[in-house]
Amino acid sequence: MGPGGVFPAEMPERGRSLVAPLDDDTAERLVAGRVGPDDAPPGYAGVAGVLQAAAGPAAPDELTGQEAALAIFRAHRPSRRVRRRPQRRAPGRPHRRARGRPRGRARGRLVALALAGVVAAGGLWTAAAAPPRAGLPSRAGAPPSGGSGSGAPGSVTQARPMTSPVTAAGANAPAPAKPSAAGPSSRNGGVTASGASHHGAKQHRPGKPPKPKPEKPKPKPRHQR
Amino acid sequence: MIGSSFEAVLGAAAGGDEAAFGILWRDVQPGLLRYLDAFAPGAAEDLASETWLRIVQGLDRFRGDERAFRGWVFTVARHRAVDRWRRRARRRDELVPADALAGLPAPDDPAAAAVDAISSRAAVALIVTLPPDQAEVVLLRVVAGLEVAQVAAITGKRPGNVRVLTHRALRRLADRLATDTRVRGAV
Repeated sequence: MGPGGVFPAEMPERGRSLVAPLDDDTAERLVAGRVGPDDAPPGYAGVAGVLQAAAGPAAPDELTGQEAALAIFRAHRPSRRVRRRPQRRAPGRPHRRARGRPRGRARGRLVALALAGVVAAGGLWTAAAAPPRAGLPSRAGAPPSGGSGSGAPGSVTQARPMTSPVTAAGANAPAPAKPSAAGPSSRNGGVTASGASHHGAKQHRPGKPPKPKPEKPKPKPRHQR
Repeated sequence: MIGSSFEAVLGAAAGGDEAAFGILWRDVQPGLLRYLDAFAPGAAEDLASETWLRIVQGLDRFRGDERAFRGWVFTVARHRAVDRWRRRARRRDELVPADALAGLPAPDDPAAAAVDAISSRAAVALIVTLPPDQAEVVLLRVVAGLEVAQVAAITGKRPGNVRVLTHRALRRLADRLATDTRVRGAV
C-alpha cells in the first residue's frame, strides 16, 4: 500500500496526473462550492460534486445532540456566571480587596515593629560602643602596653592591641604558656591577646576589625591598679 | 452561514439566550462533526461537546464576525482532537473493541464511500483518504468554510502552503475519481 492509504495501482504516477492543474481562481470557486459538477473544468466534475456534498446541509443525525448542547449552555452560560459573582460575596464574605486590607495593615504593623526593633538594636549598639570610644583618648597611652601599635591612631592594627589586654594576660599567672601556644597566630598581630581570653582568636579573622566590646575596658583599670 | 443577523444572534447568546445559542449551534455543529469525525472516528460527538463547553465559557469575551467565530470554534475543536490524540498516544496498549472497528469504513476504499455517493458523510470519507495535511486543509476550507489565512493560522502553516496543499488535494481527488470507475459512475 502506498502513502495515504492508496494502493499503488490506483495512484497516479507523480508528474503524470490525469487532469490538468487548476488556476487559483477556479480552485477557490471549487472549494467555496460555487462550481457545480456541470460547470467544473474537465476532469473535476467529480471533485465538484464531492466538495459540494461535503459542505452540504445537516443530516438529521448531526443535530441530535442539541439538547445536550443546550444543557451545557444552561450550566455554563455567561449570564449565569455574571449573576453568581455577587452571590458568592454576599453572604458575609467580604470582597477580596476588603479581606486584604487587614492583612495589609497587619503586614504594615509587622514591618513597623521590625523597623523599630532594628532602630532600637542599633541604638543599643551605638550606646554600648560609645564608652570605649570615649575612653580612647585615655587609653591612647596604652600602645606601649600592646607594643605593636605602630600604625596610625585610628588604624585597625593599632586598635587590636588596644582592645586586647596583652600585658594583662602576660601578667596573670595562668597566662605564660598561652602566648607560646598561640605563637603562630600571633603573627597576625595582636592575637596574642586571645591567649588570655576564652573567646579565642579564631573569632576574629585576620584583616577584620574586631568588634569594640564594652567589657574590655574594664580589665584596663584593674591593670592600672 | 447565519449572515447579517450573526452579530445580533451572538450578542443574544452571550447574554444567555438559549434560542440564539441554538442558532449558532445548528449552524456550526454539522461541519464540526464532519471535521472531528475525520480525525477522531467514533469520538466526534464527545469532542464536539468539549468544544462547545469551551465556546460557551468564552462566549461573552469573544469579539469578531461570523467567520472569526467559526475559526475560533474549529481552533478549539482541533485542540481538543490533538489532546485526545496525545492521550491515546500515551496509552498505546489500549485495547480497541472489535465491534468499533467493524463499523468503520476502510479509509482507502472509495467504493465504500461512494455507496451513498453524494451524502456528506461519503464525501468526507473520500476526502479523508488524502494525505492528512491535504485532507485537513480541504476540510477546514470546505466543511468549516474558513479562509486561507484562517486555515493557515489554525494549522500553523503559511497561506501559500495552504494554497499549494489545496491544489494538490483537488488534483489528487480528481485523479482518484477518474481512476476508480465505480466512484466515477456513482458521482
